[in-house]
Amino acid sequence: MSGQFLSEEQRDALQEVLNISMGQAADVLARLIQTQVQLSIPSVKQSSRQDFIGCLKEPVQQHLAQQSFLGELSGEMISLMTDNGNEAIAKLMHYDTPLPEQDRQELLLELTNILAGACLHGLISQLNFKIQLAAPVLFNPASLCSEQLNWQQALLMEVQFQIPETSFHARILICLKQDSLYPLMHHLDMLLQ
Amino acid sequence: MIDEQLASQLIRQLPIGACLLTPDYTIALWNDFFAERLQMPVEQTLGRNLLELFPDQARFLKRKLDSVFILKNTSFSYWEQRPHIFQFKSTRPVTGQEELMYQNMEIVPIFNDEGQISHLFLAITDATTTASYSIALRQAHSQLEDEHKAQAELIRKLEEAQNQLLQAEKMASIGQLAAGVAHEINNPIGFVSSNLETLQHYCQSLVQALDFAGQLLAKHPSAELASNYQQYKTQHNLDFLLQDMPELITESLEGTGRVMSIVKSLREFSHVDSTEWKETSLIDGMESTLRIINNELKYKATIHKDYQEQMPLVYCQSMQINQVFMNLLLNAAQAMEQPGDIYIRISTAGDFARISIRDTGTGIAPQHLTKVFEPFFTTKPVGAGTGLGLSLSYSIIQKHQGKLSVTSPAGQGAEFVIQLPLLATPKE
Amino acid sequence: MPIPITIADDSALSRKTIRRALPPQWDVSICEATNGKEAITAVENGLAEVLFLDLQMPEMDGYQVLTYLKQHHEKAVVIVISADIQTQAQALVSALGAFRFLKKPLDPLLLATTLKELGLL
Repeated sequence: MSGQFLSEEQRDALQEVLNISMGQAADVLARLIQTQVQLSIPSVKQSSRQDFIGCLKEPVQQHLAQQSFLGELSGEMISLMTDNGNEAIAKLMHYDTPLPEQDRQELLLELTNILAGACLHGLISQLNFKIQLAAPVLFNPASLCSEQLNWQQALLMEVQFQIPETSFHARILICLKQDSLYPLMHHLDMLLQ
Repeated sequence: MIDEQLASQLIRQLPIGACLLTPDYTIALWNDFFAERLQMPVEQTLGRNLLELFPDQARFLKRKLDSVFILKNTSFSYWEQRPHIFQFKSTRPVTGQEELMYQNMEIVPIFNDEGQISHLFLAITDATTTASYSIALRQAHSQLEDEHKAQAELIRKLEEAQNQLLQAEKMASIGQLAAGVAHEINNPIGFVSSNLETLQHYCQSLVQALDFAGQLLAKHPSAELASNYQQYKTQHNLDFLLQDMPELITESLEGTGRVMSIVKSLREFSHVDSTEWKETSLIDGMESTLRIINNELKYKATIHKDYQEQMPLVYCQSMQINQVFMNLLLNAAQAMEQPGDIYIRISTAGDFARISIRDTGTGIAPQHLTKVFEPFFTTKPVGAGTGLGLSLSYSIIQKHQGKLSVTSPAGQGAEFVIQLPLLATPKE
Repeated sequence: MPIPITIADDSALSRKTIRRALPPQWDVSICEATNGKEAITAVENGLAEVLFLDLQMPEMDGYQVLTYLKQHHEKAVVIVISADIQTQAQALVSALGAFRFLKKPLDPLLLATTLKELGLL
């Protein structure tokens, strides 16, 4: 299927829905850490397998976690966080620093659950989906190669969170395979009526 | 449709730990999984505050529970990051190696009709089997990696040893070649030398003859004859010729003498039968070795020799001993960053012949002194030398029931001392 | 006489949503702005007795609009409708002179209540 998956209208709607979900996720985190969280403008784009893998592997020094969701819409969320700002957010989440490795992993999974989970729940509630969230797990993209993936194009929605005055920076990617898009488009259309 | 009693029984007997909490952390439900494993019966726990019952885990649990309130979403904990939340004894007391149960935890928010969180549901699952497989796998993997590394190191050492053996073989065959060439050169040089000596005699005779002729002509009444002779002599530069001829022959004889001396050294050094034991002059061996490596040494060090007079012969494998001398001398030369000195002393000490080779080079650090004779030990950068020379030297001297030792006082270079018994018997 | 109002938001869906959330009995003529500059132009042209303002817009964002209006058009009535619902955002918007901060997704009842408070309904 060549060409864009979503029409201009659908893309605009999805971006707004994402924006609202992001706002809710940021609010949850902000209340947990009692500190303001900065949001980026969400992006919605179509990606080939190579671009997707490239996205995951840059920049090199980052940690990834993956959280699956299934139900009327199924896909995966991937969170990417660099080491910078780890200590800062750890303190804000009441962990002891310096951060031992197991705690660092636990923190990454917790943040993934909070941010990715809240984003997804925002999407679910605005678009009226019934979706279940699985547990977040650590993820290493090093062994991923594009030939192993059984899809050609995917929809990637990306949001970014930052905490001002720390170097904490998290990217959340919500990934939908091409054939998962029909329910999404259908629900977007309902919203647009 | 199931009734309340059935539902209640179901929850009690679930194969996972089920605990229901109100927002102030009070326990509203506590199933058998918890009760039996923690040995806390339901009566003791209902209505109690979870954080008070588990003070050691209170900080973590409170953080997780509070976050679910704000998140309004399920929160997870994995055994890999936090292996034992509650101190359950292992469910494999006989076959398992672990003391405590590995746990995964989920905290699920329960909403009332108004959309507020009325309860939090804490679920604990036993992840011990997965955990132990995972850990065992990781250990096996890391062990494999270590073995792999050790093997790679061993392969590297074997390759180096093989190289050294090939080198030794090459040296042996070069030795044979050198011996052959030396032999071939020796014959023609021999008769060139002897012919030159004869020529020297002839030359002397001819010079005398011409002198005599000149004297006769000088005495002759015919002045014309004498002056013709003189003219002839001048025209053909005979005076110069007669003076130069003997010098030419002497120099040529010196040249052949030098060639013969080199040939002799080559033959001595690369003695074809290398394992032959015989009575050897150590001084001769040292001298021939020095001649062989003269080029290596000449810009790096000045050689100082101190040979005892009437040094006795030593029964040994002369080629091997010469190889040891060469190794030590080359090491000494390489130890010099700037041109220095090498002091060679050959003497007797009691029942031993003692050969000392001392250099004014950079010396050997105290922590390395005990290691220098170890195979593969080297302080040279990778690729420059295999670190086998000294260990081979050591084993050669050992075979002779001798001793090889080293000292290196700070700032004074290094001194290697070989001791060989004067009455040696070959050791198998 | 319909009251001139302006809806400023870069998302077409959002503008549509706000439109639909307006009380049906309210007699208004609606101008739409897609960024901060257009919002200010609308105010200065008298097209915004009430300005519904998003915070995240290109060219000039909602905060910059509020700052400008506070300096040049103190009497402007601004209702911020935003996805960034953190308390800090709300506090800042209030300090910059907005009448109310409404969270996205917009609750039509809350909107109606707000308009009543303003005496516009």
